[in-house]
Amino acid sequence: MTGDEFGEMLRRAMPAPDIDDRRVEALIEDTLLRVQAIPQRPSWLFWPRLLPVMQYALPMLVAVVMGVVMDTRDANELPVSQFSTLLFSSSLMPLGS
Amino acid sequence: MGGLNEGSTDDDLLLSIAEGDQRAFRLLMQRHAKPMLALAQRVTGSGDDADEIVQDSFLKVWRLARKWQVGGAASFSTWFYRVVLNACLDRRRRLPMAPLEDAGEPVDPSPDGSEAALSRQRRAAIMAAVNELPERQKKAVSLCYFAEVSGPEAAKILDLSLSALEALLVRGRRGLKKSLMKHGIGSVGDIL
Repeated sequence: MTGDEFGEMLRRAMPAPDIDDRRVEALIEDTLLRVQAIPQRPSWLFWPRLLPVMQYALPMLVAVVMGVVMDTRDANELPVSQFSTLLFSSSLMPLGS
Repeated sequence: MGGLNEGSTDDDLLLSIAEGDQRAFRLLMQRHAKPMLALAQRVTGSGDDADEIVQDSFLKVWRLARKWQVGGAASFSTWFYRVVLNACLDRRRRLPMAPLEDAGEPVDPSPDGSEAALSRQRRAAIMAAVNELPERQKKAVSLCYFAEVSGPEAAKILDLSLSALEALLVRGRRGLKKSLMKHGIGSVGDIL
């Protein structure tokens, strides 16, 4: 028996089910009802998910900006590398801790 | 969007669905629900399971429509077949499957056996044998023999070349024959 014949026999043994139009329509209506029940969340509500990242990222950003500012203002007073390192290490401490 | 109609492409509909357009969602479901129900019912062997799987898959479309890439690697139909087929196989895996022995003896076409009972017995025997196949062979056999998709389309859905799909089918058929023979079904002809 060739592969095609075997496949054809399988198909005959497992005929395609007769899907009633009313069943399809009922499924569609029910799915639409479930969709209407899903609350529409504005995109800004997703921002809280970024908070854990932001509590580290924000101080680091501030440290970099401050480092650049100090560097341009008075390079001799406090070496930028030291200042940045100080701020960078403090930024590793999450806000509020 | 007012311009949506039967002629709109799936991508057009998905763009509208991403904006929350339920009319577009209805059109998309009307277009794809029937073939997906047929596939799910054949693979799971249950109309109720098929309804649930197809509905959950459509809800996934609703939720993920914003992320749909128009003109991406796969068409919506290809992607959706993949989602439904995987859901069907997951469902079969989760449910405790009856062993092939429970499908009963090979069908004896005696005059007192009703056609409906024979038909159920055949399906149970085949589905149990298909379920014993390795995952990839199971997917290939389910798509090529139980869904109305062409070979090239099935290859796309499974992300395989046509020759790789054919190789899987050869192994799948061999596995099915072996599994059915092991349980006294000499050939698929015996259960027809």
